[in-house]
Amino acid sequence: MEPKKAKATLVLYGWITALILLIGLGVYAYSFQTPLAQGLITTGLRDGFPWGFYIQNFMFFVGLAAGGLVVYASVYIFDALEFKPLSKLAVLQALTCTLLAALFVLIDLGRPERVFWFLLSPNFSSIFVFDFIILNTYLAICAIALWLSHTGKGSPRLLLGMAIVSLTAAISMHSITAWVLGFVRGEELWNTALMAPLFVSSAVVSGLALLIVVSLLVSKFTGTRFKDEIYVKMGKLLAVVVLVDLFFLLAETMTALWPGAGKPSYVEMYGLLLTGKYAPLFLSQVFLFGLLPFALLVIPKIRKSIPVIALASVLLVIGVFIKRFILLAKGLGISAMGEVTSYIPTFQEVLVGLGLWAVGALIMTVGVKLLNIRAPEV
Amino acid sequence: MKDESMNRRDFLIKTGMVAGAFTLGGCIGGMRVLASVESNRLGQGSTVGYAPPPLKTDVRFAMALNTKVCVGCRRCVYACVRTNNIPRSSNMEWIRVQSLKRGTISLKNTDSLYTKAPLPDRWYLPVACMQCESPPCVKVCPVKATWKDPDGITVIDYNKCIGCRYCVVACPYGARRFNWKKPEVPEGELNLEVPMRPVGVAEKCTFCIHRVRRGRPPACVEACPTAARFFGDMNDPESAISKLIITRRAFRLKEEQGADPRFYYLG
Repeated sequence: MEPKKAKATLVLYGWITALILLIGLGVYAYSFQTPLAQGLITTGLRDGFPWGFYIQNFMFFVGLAAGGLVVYASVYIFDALEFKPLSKLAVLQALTCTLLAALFVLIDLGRPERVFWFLLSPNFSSIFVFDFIILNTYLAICAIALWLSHTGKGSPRLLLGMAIVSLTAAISMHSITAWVLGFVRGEELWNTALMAPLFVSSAVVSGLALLIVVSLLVSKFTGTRFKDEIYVKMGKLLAVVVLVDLFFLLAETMTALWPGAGKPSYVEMYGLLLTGKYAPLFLSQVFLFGLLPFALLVIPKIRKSIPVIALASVLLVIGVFIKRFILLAKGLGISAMGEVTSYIPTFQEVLVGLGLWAVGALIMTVGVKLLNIRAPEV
Repeated sequence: MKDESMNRRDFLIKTGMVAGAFTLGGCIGGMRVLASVESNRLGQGSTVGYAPPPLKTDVRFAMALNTKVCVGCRRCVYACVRTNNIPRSSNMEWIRVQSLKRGTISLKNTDSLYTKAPLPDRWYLPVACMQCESPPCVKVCPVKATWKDPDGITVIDYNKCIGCRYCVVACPYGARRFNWKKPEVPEGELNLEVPMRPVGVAEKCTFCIHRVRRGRPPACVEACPTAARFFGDMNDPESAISKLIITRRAFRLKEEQGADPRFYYLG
């Protein structure tokens, strides 16, 4: 027993050291892009494609914050008691991801030191301001929910109320983030009513999938194990949400591709997605990271196997990450003046992003330790 | 077991106190920044020798461009670059001349990087900020760093812009530029009437605010060798521009976007 414990401690400290190194590297890379140094010229962004890797991550992490809350809320709203052992971890994940989303917006700014203007002269005709508000509200709600589920305080009534409030906030946050793109009238592929529903569905897909992966990792490293039934049940739930997500994609694709149905901008962009420069990303997102994991989650013979559910979850998280980039490219890939633009993130950008991911992993690790999150003993 | 949980609570409380102290300190620091930015805004601009031009409230500036005679020579672009302190060879030009196929106004496959003009099978459409009546860029700016002045010019506070680039994304005419790096102008060529922009903020055509508010025409209008450009006050029904818009077949680009531009093309 003793050497095993020592090894576990060693692994933990090795992991934390690696994360801190990555964070340091990220901070170093970030220092190049500040207004005091070179500015955002160090990124691959240009006027034709002004939002890239950072905003992609922002949208991705807003989405990841969802799934956790869905699990947490369904415990109290739908009496899904089998998910209860996961609820604390779910809220921790939501909190961490929301924090990362906020950080990704901050590092995307050309003048981050002026961010206080958001508080001092907010422009309420900009949906961005509401995103700022809901992001902070959501952070506070997650913190309260985490405190409640850690201390075990709160009457059933209060907990139910909390679950309803947090679910409402989650859906608002995803819709509002979707509308940051959806309300841009000049971009036809963004300016669609489908934007918010599509955003919510892929948010729940990625969030649920990440929760499955994270809880499996927690099981592995704390030496305890959540019941297999939880995963089978979550796998089932995940399959349903993936189906909804795929349906939305189908609806959009049909509108673009049916002969005579698609507006010229749709037809041109879908050309780039299906046979043009974005085809490798788009097609792999649809098949390898969309339909394949869906098949894994519904084929009766394998859908109850934990490794299969884990694999499907990993694929789905990657899929939604790619999807967030495709989403940006749908609007920015062809400029307002009709020119095909291009964007590839630079090494500097990716290092900064990795640094922030490491911040998230560190918060999760410390959170799991500090809040003593482990599978309940049976 | 009991002791352990007490320690954890203790730890959390201490962490909370430290975080609180940092937040408070940050707020006080932030307020000092605010004061300095405000004084900058209300007083002089950010650069040596720059004084904001006087603002008239009874005019409504507009521009018109005769597409029949535009030959795509880009003299307007060069004049604009020089007068507005735009970095040379930086892709930051505020005017972009689109070369279109004859017979269509579709922007698909337009080319703004052409090297030879005029060509017999092309026609030319110079595009810059349209100074819209209902500007999408102003609506999306989260911090009110850009607005419309009473004379109709959409302006940007370079000392307030946070550099989020939402305006760059939202402009249906692709008229906004972002300072990805610190802009630099060759020594001796700096125009002291126009402030240099700091790195990390958005900028765009101002209808040559430093000239038109002092009664001179914009540099592009003055530089055009075929006299394709017209500039004036739309509030005055007797002005050349008001008459041109009424008597010629005037149209505006992407009117369906609903931004209500004040840049007219004459057919």
